[in-house]
Amino acid sequence: MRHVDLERLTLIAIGDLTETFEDTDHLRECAACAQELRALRDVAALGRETRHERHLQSPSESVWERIAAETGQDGEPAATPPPVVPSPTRRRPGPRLLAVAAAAAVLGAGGAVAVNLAAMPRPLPEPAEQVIARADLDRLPSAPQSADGEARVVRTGDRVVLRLRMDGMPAPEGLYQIWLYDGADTMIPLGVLTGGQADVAVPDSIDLADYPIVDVSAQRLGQQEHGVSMLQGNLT
Amino acid sequence: MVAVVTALPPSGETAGTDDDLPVRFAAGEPRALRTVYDRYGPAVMRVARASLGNVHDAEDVVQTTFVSAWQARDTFDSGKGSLLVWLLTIARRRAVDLLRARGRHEQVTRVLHSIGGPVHQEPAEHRSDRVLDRLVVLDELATLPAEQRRVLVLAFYDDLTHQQIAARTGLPLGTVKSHLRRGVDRLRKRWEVDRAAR
Repeated sequence: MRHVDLERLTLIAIGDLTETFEDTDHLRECAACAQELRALRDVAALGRETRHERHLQSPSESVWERIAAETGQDGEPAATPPPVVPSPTRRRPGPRLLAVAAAAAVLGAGGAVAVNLAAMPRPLPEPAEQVIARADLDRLPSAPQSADGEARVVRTGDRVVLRLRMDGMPAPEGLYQIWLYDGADTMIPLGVLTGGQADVAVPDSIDLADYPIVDVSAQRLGQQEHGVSMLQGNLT
Repeated sequence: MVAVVTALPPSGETAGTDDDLPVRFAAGEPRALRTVYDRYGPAVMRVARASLGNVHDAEDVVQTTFVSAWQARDTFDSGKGSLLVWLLTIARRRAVDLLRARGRHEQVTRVLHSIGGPVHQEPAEHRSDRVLDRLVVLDELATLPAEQRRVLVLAFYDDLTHQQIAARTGLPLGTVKSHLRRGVDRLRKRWEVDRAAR
């Protein structure tokens, strides 16, 4: 019996190739190949999801001071974190986003923030940006399996913006709209996604603690009320 | 202000592999704790936040995790799994302890249920399990050789096919396929070892 080649199995697992009839027949017969494919699919799914964890929040410096005090270390902050993996360079958000943008431009990553910044014609002095909250958006039953997204609430100067990216969704029949939801009975429309991305302003009058859920819905053109939810996530 | 760190080294750079850090940590070398904290504090924070509603509680969990990890450092066995998964497992346990101590478990589950959606309907522990898996895979992704990592990132994050990756990077098709196979295999082996260690 000829097993499915490992390179081919990997490509099938990451969704790059589809199974031929010959593959399918073999996978039905061969428990070893079938199990291998399942394991590769599991790890490929995790690999894709790591995109949500690329930008992690550091605990505040006072946490280290408390740890140092309890463990009898000198509380002195490390001058420069040593170059370890994954390299946790502490940077201010502005330069960090630019660094990410540069990396993303080389990688061709599809991140909204990165590409927009990279596309800027000149090196603007970045207004200091502060990420106030973030949400991984999870697909709801009406969305395709591939659907995925993330949202961040960013303060720039005195402006608060919800920055949203959505992947794996078909072109809308009408449009995709972003809402804030209180989890009970109130939904506030914030704006429309184009090309799977949006930066929409969050009015001062809205307290995110009261509306912690970000929702993306499919709307018919002209539909005023909330349509069909596709993605949702909780701001933390 | 929230400091945010980026887990993947810039494209083209190979991440340093500070291989003896777990050994130095387990041996109680004074500066090792700070180094481990810098390296893994954000990941520990992430796991804590996957279970707990607010930053203050999550930071308490980060604190108790690193303090108890330091006190129990001689029980860390690098043969059984990575230092990262050891820390994240402690953090997840501490987060559950904190929820139970406050009798808030039911409340948290109810809050998650009210949001709807497939992930949120799971108990907080399951959600933090998934986050933990992602962080382990991400940690391994960061240690792959730069070219291999770039190929995987283009496949995972940009949904490019191997042909598109070859066109984008100028690498031969065979090299791209080989990077995909070896890279995914590395992620899998690390994940399987660390999953067994939890």
